[in-house]
Amino acid sequence: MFSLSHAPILMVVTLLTAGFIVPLVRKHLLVAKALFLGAGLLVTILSFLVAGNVLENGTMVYNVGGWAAPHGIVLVVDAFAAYVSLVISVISLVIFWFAVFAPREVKYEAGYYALILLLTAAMHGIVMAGDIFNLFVFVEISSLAAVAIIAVKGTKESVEASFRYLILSALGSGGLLFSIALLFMVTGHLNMDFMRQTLAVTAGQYPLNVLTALAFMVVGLGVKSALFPLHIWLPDAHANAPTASSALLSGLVVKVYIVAFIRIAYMTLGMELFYLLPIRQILLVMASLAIVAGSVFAIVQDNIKRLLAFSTVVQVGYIFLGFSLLSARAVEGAVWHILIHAIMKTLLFLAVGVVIHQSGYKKISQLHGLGRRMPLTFACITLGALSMVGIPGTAGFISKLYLALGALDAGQAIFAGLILLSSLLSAVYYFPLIITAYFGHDASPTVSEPSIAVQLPLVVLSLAVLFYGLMPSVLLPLVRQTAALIMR
Amino acid sequence: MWLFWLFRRRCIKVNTMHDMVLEVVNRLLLPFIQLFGMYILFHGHLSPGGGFSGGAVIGASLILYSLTFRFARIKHRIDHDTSVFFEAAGALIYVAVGFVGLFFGYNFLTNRGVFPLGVPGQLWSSGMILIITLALGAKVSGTILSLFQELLEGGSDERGNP
Repeated sequence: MFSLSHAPILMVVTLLTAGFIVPLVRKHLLVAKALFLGAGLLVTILSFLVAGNVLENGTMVYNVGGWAAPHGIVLVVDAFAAYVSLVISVISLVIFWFAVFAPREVKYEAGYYALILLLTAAMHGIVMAGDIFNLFVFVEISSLAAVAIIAVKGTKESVEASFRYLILSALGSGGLLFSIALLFMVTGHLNMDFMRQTLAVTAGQYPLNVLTALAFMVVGLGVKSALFPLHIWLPDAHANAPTASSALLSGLVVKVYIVAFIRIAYMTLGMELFYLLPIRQILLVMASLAIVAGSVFAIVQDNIKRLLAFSTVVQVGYIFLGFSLLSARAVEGAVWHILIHAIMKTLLFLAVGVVIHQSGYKKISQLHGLGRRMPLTFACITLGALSMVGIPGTAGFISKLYLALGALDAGQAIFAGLILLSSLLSAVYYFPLIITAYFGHDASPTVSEPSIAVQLPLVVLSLAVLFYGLMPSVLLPLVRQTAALIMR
Repeated sequence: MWLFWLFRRRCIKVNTMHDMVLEVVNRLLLPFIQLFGMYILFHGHLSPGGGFSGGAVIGASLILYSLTFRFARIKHRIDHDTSVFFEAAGALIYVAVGFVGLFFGYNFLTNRGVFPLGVPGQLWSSGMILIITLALGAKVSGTILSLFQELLEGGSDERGNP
């Protein structure tokens, strides 16, 4: 009865349903936790099945309610959607596990789980939506849930950070909605496929509309995905959220908006536009600024989580750089980086959260000798940091290699130099963390490792970092297909 | 209307500091407000309105009730847990209606062929749209009431509700 063709909608609906049931059973926390993890596991299995099916049989299209494309709501799972939703489901399952077993950080646990479930459902929805308005609806759900999982910590800083995020992200939503309205004016369609076909005819007649729509979209989704000059909400928000939220926001949420941007700007408006307008140059400049300025900001941070947050700004710059270089290998590098940065940053945020909880220290200068007290956790942090720098053998090397080669392919060697420079800079801001932890004098003899259940996600993610560093070929077909789809 | 009859006796007994005009006028008005909300809900597929507007009217009537007859009273009839329950149940019914189509071998949220469609223009028609409108009405009124109660309780109640 449930053939695989229903799997895309089931992924979204499972998470939504679990998100609505969990607050009902909040009195029985064990049931809530089981539901939370069970939903995550089920969606992960489904996303593996969907990815396998897409690789084998090509794009899956699901008509919700049985109504076909121009009038009905459709979910389109192409290689890109299958890849990103695979990344989302696997990484979020690890984070779900951490949220359940890690020490309590929030007051209302069941409510927190419900918010995380809604956020994850919305992320899957953004990735798979076939029409631009449903994409907007899911963007709204995920923005509000993302704001809420920061504020749920309840400290003064986190409420302030989430309020700032709320205002800026509402501005971003406004920009996105306006651009969707302008595109609808030109095309009369909301479905992305039909929009693309109509735009090929009408874009020339209404160039101003398309230009304005593109500008609003760059700003709207740029604010949400923290592209450099629009990133100001990110460091506070990601640094003051609960550990699991930080990992989720930094590892996945920011990237989902990049996916939304690629879907609309590249795959709906079409590549031709990029040769008519200087949008590509603007994105290149913004991405380069993100890489340089984010690194410089990160170097001066003493608060560990703020350092990681600024590092996220840098990595968003990488992804945009890859997508705007527009050579096959650069786009592949950016697609790789979506996965690899999700693994690395989730690993680092979770591990740092464990360290902060076990020791109470939030600053790098306080970590003296902790590496001896928490050997496994700091081994994971070291591995994550090495991968961030891009040492060969770790996953970070693969995506940086692809990006650098892509820059050379595009004939823009300066960006390969920029990637090298940025690797050096990230060594400058990550190594103090490791050096202080291992080589300082032993100042805190009472600190100990957390329980095994908490360490399990860290170990799994560390192994993933090594695995993709040594054997990147596992996901290569999906990445290749995705890049080909974007470059179409 | 039924809500009004349920509340009636309790109100008279408990209120010690009451404003006669406010109470009498509201006692007259509330049934009509709720009836109007129900009308919007049940005619969601026939006329302007539907789940959100009908639910908002009913939710607003419950807030009005609670403002008129002292804040504490509403807790005894429709407490925070109940409003949260309605909020979740509305959404769950929506999803369940979607799954019905799946069980009949069609796509998610299929209407034609799964639910009896009836004669267009009549009250009992449109298949699942009516069910969904009612479920959304429950969700919206529950949400509005629970937001109000959240503000009333200052966001911090000892029972650990979200």
